[in-house]
Amino acid sequence: MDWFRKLIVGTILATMVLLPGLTLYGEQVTISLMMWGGAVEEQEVRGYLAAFNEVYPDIQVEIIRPADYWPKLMSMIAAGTPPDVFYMGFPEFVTYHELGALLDLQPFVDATPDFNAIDFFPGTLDAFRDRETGHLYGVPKDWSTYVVYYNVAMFEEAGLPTPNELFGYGQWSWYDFLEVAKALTQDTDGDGQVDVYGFAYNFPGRWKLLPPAFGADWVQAPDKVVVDTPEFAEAIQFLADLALVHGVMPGVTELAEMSAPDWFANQKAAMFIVGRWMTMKFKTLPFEWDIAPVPYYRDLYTWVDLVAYCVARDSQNPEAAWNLVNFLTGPQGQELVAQAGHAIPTRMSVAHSPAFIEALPELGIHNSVHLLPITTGPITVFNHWGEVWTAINRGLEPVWTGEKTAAEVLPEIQAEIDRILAED
Amino acid sequence: MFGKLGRYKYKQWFWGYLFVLPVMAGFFLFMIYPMISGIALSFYKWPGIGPKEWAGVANYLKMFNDAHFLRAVGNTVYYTLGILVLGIPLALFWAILLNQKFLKGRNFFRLIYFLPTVTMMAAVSMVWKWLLSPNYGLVNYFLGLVGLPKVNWLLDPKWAMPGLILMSIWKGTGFNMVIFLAGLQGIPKTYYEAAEIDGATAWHRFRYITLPLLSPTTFFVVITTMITSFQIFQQAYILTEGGPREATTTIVFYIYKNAFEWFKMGYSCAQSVFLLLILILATLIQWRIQRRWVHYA
Amino acid sequence: MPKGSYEAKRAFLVTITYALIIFFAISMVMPFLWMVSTSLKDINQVFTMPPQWIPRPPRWENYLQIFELMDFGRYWLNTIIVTFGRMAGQFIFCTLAAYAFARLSFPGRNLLFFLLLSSLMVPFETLMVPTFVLMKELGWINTYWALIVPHGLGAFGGAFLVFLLRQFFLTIPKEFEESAIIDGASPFRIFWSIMLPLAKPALAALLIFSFRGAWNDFTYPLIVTNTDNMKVLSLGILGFKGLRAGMTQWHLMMGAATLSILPMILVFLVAQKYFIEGITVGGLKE
Repeated sequence: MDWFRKLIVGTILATMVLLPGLTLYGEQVTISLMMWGGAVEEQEVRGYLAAFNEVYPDIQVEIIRPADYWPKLMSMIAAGTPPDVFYMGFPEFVTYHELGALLDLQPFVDATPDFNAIDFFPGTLDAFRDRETGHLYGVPKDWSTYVVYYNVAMFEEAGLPTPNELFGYGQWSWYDFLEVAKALTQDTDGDGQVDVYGFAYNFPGRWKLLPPAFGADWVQAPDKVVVDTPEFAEAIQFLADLALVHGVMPGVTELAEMSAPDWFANQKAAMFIVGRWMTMKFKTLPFEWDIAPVPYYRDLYTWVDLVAYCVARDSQNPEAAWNLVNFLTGPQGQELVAQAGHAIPTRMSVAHSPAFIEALPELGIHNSVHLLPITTGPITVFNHWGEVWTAINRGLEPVWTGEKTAAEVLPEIQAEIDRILAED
Repeated sequence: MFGKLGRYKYKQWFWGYLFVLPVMAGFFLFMIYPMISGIALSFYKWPGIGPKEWAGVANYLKMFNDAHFLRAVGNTVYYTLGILVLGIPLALFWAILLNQKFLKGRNFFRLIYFLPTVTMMAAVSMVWKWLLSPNYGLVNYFLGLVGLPKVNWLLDPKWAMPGLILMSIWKGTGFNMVIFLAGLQGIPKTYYEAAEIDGATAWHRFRYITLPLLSPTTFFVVITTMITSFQIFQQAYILTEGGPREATTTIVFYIYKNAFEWFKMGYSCAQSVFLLLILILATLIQWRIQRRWVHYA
Repeated sequence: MPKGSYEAKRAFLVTITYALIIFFAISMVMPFLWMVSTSLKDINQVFTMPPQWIPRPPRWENYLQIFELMDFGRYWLNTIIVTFGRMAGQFIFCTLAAYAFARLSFPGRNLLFFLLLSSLMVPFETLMVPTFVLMKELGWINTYWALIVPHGLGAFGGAFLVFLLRQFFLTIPKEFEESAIIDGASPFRIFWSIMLPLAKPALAALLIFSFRGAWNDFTYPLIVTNTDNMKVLSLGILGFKGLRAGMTQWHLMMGAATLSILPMILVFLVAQKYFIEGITVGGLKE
């Protein structure tokens, strides 16, 4: 027979044999856990799950880690095949709760005598409660305050006190910080180009750290977001000028080629600011570094990222899902979080124990910096988070490149925010 | 004999329907049905789960008042024009180069020019993100070698779209070139010989022989390029995520964002319907124009 | 004298033509070379100016690192399953339909063909949301069914393949089937014994178009799959995208790109003749 006809018969047969086999493959009886973060974080989570399986050998957990977390979560929920357990940031919680996508965990909490709700940091549980019924829809898995990561040797070489010392001396305002960053910025080979920056920061995404420290009370209610104020403008302009005017921080262009953590990790920047999770990646760096409080100005402030485990309302195995959530947010699970350097445990008993304070002893870093009570007020959220966020970030772009000043763009951004928030 | 042919006629009916059945079933189930349900959805407000809420033409009204959507339309038109104006003449130019009688290794060069068109856009986009990077990118390096200033390709709102166009021209021009080349080879040599005897210049031969006789090919190339250009999505999704400052937010990218990031399924469908209408309209207009200016040899 | 100047002019034109052709050829290949070169560097060599073309020493272990950091094997497997599944479907169903549209006459044939052809105006990109909803209704989200069946039945681009094959079947002279018809052969018999063997080059073109479409597909799997273990290559390699992974590891990104582009280039080099013929047929006749 001719080879082409063999091919046809072969493909028909192969299709008939393969397709049913493939669908069998797709059926899993385990529960799924959807997470974000990099490969390193996934490795850590696998470690937590191994500990979980020692207690619950019958529950297999499959990890889902998509590159684009929110669209995928949305589409899985809409498809009626949500992951059983998933990460939920506090800003996004409102949207997902209003969509009715989350399972009410209160019955499970009530049935778990050793849940010990009082052990969670104040406010962390409340962020995931229904505002009317007070029922809990997510259990905080970890939280993180932003801190300054700094390269110890670079501070020594420049003859500067460490940021921790400066904080202690009361000389750690954002403007003090600027002077320190200037002293650390170097052109080592004398070619007129900066080789080591004082500071690297993913400012186009993380500017949110500054405005409250500059006195801008910008999230006033879930439907009232006010950015068009002199304080907000000052904060944004200060941040932009670190790159544009003072040249102590890689600008937008430099960040496109090397991300902010890479500038620090490759010893091309002396300071870097982000949350606790970066410790997990930085713990293998071949140089000495430490953490210190973020600078202050009119107010003491640091941004808090808070993440919970939520269970899908349509979960096929809510019991198993709850067991996973309860284990991971329980004392043992939280100790694992502390040891990994992943984040600050949400249980105070663990966060204030040696499990966190003395975690990663080989690094000799000041873990307790994360626990300084310098956040202001309750954790803030507003409606239409994704769209408002996009609008602000987009509107600020000309400021980062120096085409416009913050004061010039903020009225436009305000108009856009008002428009979005006015939609029902 | 007529009996047999007659029977064959009815056999043809049976086998004909049977043969087209799978493809037509796929067509109706996976294209016509979604098209209809998409049009229906465009009249609802629906966040992806839960009940749908009738919205009438609100989504359409909103669309034409949505500055971001209009911006996306403008960006898409810009991209399409860029490809049409730069890419298609380049494809023709390449085809003419490769069609020279004296050329050795024509198949080899055709292969090289064609190579990018078969590669995976997702992977190629990552490569170009690196090529177009401002300080360590190869493109800026070569610009520097010939004394031109650095361009902040994907980060400057003025240059982001040209960056995408540049990449797309690199990626897609080989395809059109192959079609042009085949078209050129289909033009009878005698025309040129006659023209040469008449002493026509190269330009005249191109203007009065090549272009008119190539017009069916050109028509085909323009129409297919335009339709594919209007769907641009991957490049924007991977290279620039629609930025900076929406400079590369295309229609499809905006549709995707509305549907899968902002839970606005109905609104997103209205935009899809709009895009579909543009594509159909463009095709119809081109068909009409084709009758007027396309010469068939 | 005039003859001499004609030859000089000609030699000049020849040189210019070659120069241009070679210039463009180099610009076409350069990105690929740069991709491979970057994939073999360490992160410090990546950030050097002027660019270093030959990595010294080449770091082949980068490729091992890619397999450690992501489930690349799984993406490959998925891509292969999806590609061959779609190819099988399109090979069978598009060929059958093309034959029917070209050589069999039955009521409504032209209308159906016109409808099918007009689907070329409707790209998947305009149907993202309703397709997602349909797949959800079918329970196919995140399954191979969703990835294979619609394309296998010729939706989303299959109409082009039908068109391509139909053009070919139209060129076969009537005499080939006449005697078989008189002998009482059924249309299927004629298709199977007479037409298929003749159509080999066109079928080869169909297969390679089908391969290209499936291997490189991006938007469709983006919409219908969710989990890492169902990802195809085009989606999987985005795991390396700087912003989302938190770090910008260009050397690993280029390695992942190389691994995804390579199979298609190899297939193309083997089968390029059919490919280019296919485009020409699809683009020109009629």
